[in-house]
Amino acid sequence: MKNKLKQQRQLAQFTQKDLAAAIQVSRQTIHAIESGKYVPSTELALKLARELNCTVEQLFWLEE
Amino acid sequence: MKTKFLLPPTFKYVGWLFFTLGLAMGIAFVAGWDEPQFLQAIVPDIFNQNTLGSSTPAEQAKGLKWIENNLSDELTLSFILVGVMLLMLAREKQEDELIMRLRLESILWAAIVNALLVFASTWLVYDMAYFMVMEIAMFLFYLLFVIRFNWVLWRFNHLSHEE
Repeated sequence: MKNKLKQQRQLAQFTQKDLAAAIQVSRQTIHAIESGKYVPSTELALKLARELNCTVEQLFWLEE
Repeated sequence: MKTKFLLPPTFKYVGWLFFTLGLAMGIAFVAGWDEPQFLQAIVPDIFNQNTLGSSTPAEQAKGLKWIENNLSDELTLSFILVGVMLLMLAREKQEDELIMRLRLESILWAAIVNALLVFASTWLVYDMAYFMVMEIAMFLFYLLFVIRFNWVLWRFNHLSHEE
């Protein structure tokens, strides 16, 4: 699974810490998702998309 | 994140206190300290050689009796067990789904390593030394979990920089 979380976050002018606080996870979790070390649950993916004002598909997609 | 079975984060400190106390007592008794006399007590002995080897109910009834025993080793193991259980069950301040995954992975890792260590010691350690290994094995699983979980947490906290 690939993601564009870092770009979308920077576009929305969020720091990792701010985004983490907004969706009630740790900053380390945001970092782990951005670096591809952790694939979030559906619930967390939906929360991220809502907070960054985009769709889940814009954030995450399957590798071919 | 809502979590089942986990305790508030402050229980971690209580866990360290109990574990350190139990470990200190354990090391002291193994090193040859005398068991304190005030811990001498009459205790129920519900499972012993009579219970194991008896065939008739009358003989089995003899198995349930009261004996005099020093409570030093019971207290030591209880402190260690309560300590590691509290360390295992104390929630992190920000308990989210990544932490839960690390927690579950650490439980699995601890179960595998614990089984391998018990298996190896069964074939390599004998007599009273094996009895001591079995005593350690009673809390080894929890201890392995605590070590591994805190190690991966530390790595996550120190290797993830703000970008």
